[in-house]
This record gives sequence, structure tokens and C-alpha cells, in this order.
Amino acid sequence: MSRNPYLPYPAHIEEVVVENEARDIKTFRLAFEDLDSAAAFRHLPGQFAELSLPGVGEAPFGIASSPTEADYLLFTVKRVGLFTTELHSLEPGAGIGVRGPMGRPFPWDRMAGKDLVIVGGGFAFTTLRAAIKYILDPAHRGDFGSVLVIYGARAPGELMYRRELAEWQGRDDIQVHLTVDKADEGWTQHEGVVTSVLEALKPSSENALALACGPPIMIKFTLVSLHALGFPDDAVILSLEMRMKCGIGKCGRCNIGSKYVCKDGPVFTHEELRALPAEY
Amino acid sequence: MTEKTIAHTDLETFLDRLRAAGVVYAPAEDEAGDVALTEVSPTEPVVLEYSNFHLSPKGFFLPQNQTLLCFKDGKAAEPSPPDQETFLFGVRPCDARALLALDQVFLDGEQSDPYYARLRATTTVIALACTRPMPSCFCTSVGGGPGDGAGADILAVGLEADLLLRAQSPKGEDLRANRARESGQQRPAPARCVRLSALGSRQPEMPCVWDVQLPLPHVPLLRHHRRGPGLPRPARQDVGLLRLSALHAARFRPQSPPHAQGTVAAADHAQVPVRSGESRSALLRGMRPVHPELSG
Repeated sequence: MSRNPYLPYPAHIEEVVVENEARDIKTFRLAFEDLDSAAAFRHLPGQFAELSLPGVGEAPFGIASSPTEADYLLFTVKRVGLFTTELHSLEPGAGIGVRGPMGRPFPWDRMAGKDLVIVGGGFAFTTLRAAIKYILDPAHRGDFGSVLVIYGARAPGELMYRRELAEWQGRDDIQVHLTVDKADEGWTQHEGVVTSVLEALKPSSENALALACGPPIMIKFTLVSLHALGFPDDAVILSLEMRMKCGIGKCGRCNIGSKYVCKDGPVFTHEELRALPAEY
Repeated sequence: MTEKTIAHTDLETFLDRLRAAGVVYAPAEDEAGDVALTEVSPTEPVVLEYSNFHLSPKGFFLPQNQTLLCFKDGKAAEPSPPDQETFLFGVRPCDARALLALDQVFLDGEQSDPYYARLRATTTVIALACTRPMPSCFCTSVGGGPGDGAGADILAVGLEADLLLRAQSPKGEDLRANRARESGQQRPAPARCVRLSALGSRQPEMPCVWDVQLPLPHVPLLRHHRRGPGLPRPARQDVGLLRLSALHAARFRPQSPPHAQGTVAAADHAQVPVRSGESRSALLRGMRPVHPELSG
């Protein structure tokens, strides 16, 4: 009999990094308590996991680390509710449960050999970070064509993973463009929404796929821009944000029409999403 | 699947035997006077005259409260499974069939739900064929019927003086066989089944309770005979629908055997083919007149 999918793997927090000036987004580095759990947890970027705190509850989060970062898992969490507030109060060493990995990852088979346009906004950048780390790994970089990343936030202080962003901007095998809605003193990069940068750069849609994660309003206009650049709907890959519960397509908390976001998603192409009823 | 009968007066003995093997829930009146599936004590009367319960037996398989995990030495562990069998006696065929729909989600597919699976494994469902369908019933619209045994382990049918038990699953077969071993006797199939088979309506060696044509009051069947997604279409309509409108007669024309085909003509009813050419009253003979409309 296979393992009970409702039982979390035991883990603990190794490190907590505050990601923004508002201090309401933190990245938690988790390590499993035992080797068996670590060996059993095999994920691909785009998947999510359920984090649980005894006596508090359980909530789904996209996995922000790539499987190439083998020794730990990263989850970047914004403080918004009961569970995340409790999580934010934890210090390194605290125990936590991890259930997963769950859901359909980014379509890595389809992405092989393609140029990639990655558009992210705000703190939805987490699984895109995992994807970029995965792509840039020496073992995988040769599998993909050019990689263009456009990442926008409200203000410079809201950009996450700043040390890594700076590192990526220093590389020649990836183009990273950062933009903020409102620049402050000292900001020398783009100012404006991600779509203005996208339209200025005009990446070719030929043999290319686009990955977009961000707030609904950003997705709405990014889809228009990508369409204008010639990206067909099935070449635009999106990830849905949803309050998944069981994570295995049983509880019916996250279904949209006949699709379960937890099992059939959270990654969908724009074409697949258009076929779903407009419930989200 | 095999079947056997027990006398109605032996029902208590039958339930006592089940009690020896686990917990028995059977229809009994609750404080409000409603019939509900209750853990009945040997002295409590079991009610067999009811349409259906207010609460479906779904709660036995997906309880509102359930311990999903506990912690031992800081590690999450699965609580130990139920240590005894649960017997649900008197589940209506519609509710038993509904379990098959739940199975599609919680048992079948790439990932089954372990908590549902183990409650399903430790629960024996004994359905009781429905002799009092209500105008609002819709079992026939989802592929079932008042005498349908799908989803149950055993189907019980109330006959004149007996209760016919028909095994529907290997588990039900075991239960039936165990009881046969214990009592050391197995009564023959009821005479009316044999008589009907002698009329050539079906294979004599396969006594089939459906040929008794469960008496139905006039059920105003709704026009939407859509079947539920994924539910198997029954090989034939299991239920004798004798008073049918022309529309329903066309829809539910039974698969007629090549011989012994007759019709019942009635002024206010469509001509409905009935096996063997027996009159309706003959077909209904032997059924317990539990419904006032049928007692004439």
C-alpha cells in the first residue's frame, strides 16, 4: 500500500530570511528530519506543498526552491492570515510538517529546446525563482534556448531574492529585467509595469514559451501583450493561486469546473484555462 | 451471486448474529419519531416500513469528525483502523448506489483516500429493496431502481413472510455463506420465483428476484432521464414499472426474451410488455402490501 498522502513529513526551519522592506514576506528554508522523508520528496519547479503547524493548521505554498538545491526546501510566504502569521513568528529550529509535492509542475518536456520568456509580479515570483534556478543549473542550462526574465514589484523594497537577482543580472546566459511601479532614489532600472518592459523588449514568439505568474491585473495585461507579440494561447503557461486543501483531488475545495487546481494544476496553459468555466 | 431467505421472524436472530461480529446499525425510530439508521440494541424494535432516512449513510464513510493523524515521538502517524466490522442494515438502494459514485472519487484513480478506503473495507452494506418510493424519488434517473443492489454487499427484499437476502459482493457472499455454515441449512429460493421461471420469463437456474416485479405506486417519473456521469448503464431495467405513461413505456421497454412475451392492456395505462403474459395482479401476488395504494 502506498504511503498515506495525508501524513506530513517531519521537517524543521533552518533559516528565515526577510525578503522585503515591509517585513511581511519571509523565505523559510526547511530541512527534513530524516533521510527517508528527504528521499521521498521529489519535486519539479511549479509544484506546491502543504505546510502544517500542529494546533494551527495547514496551507498550500508554491515551492520556491529547485530540486537542484538538494539539501533543503524554500518557501516564500507573505503574512496574510492565521497560518502565515503563526509561521512568521517561528524561529529557526521550529518543527513543521510538509506534505507533497503536489500538482502538475511547469511543462518541462515542452520547455526543452525553447526560448523562454518569464514574467513575474510581486510575491508570485516564488515558483518562477525555482524554475530559473532549475534552468540555470549547469546540468539543465543546455536544454533551453535564451531566457528572458521580467520581474516587477510595487517598489524596489518589495523585490524578493535581491542577492540572486543581482547574480543573475551578472550572467550572460540569462537576461533579467527588473521594474518597479514607483521608483525611489537610487533606483536605476525600469520604472513602470511589466507589460511596458515586455512591449519594449519585444521578445520573439518563435519557438518560444512564456511563463507568467503574478497578481490577476498583471496577468490580464500580460496576456494581452503576449498575444500581441504572437504567443499562441497554448504557449502561455500560467499558475493558478488557489486555497488547495487535500492536495490530491478529493476534497473538492479547489475545483474549477471538472479540473482540480491541486491535481490538474496549478500550472495550466492559457488555452486550458480558457476552456474552464469562468469561476476563478 | 447466491441468495437465500430468512423468515421475518428470524430477522432479530440474523441481526444478533451480525452483532456478534461487529456493530449493527438498523432502522429504528429516533426520539423525534423519524426512522434513522441507529445502533440498535437486541431489545429495540427494527422498523422496516419507511421510505428513507433523513440522513444518508454517507456519514458512515465520510464522517464529519475524524482523527486523520496523531503524533508519536514528533512524527505524524496514522491512527489505528477500526477494530470491528460495521453492518448497515436497511440502506435504501439509492443510497447504496450512491456509494459507487463516492468510490469513483475516493477509491478509484491514481490516489485513493486511505480513510475512506478502510471504512469502506470494514463496513458491510445490507440494502433493503424499496417498496415505498416517493413521488420525489429519482433513482431510475441515475441508473438505479428500487430493487437495485449495486453498491451494496447484500440486497434484502421484503417478501410476504420472508426476507430474501441476495449476495451482491464477495463480502456479502462470505457473510451469506458463513451464516449458512452456522445454521447448517439453506432454504430454497422462494416459490414465486420458481413459478415465474417456470413460465419461461428467464433462466430457471438463475432465480431472479426482479421477476417478482416489485409493486410500485404510480411514480410520476420526471422527463430528465439523464444518467449520472460515469455510472454504468444497467443491462436492463430492473424494476417493474407497471403503470407507465406512454413516454415512459417507450423509454423503459424491458429487454424481452424471445418467448413468452405478453402485454397488459389497461385503459389508463400504456401497453407495457410484461414477461409471461401473466396478469398484473398475478405478477404482484405474493408481495407484501406495504403501501396502502397497493393493498387492493
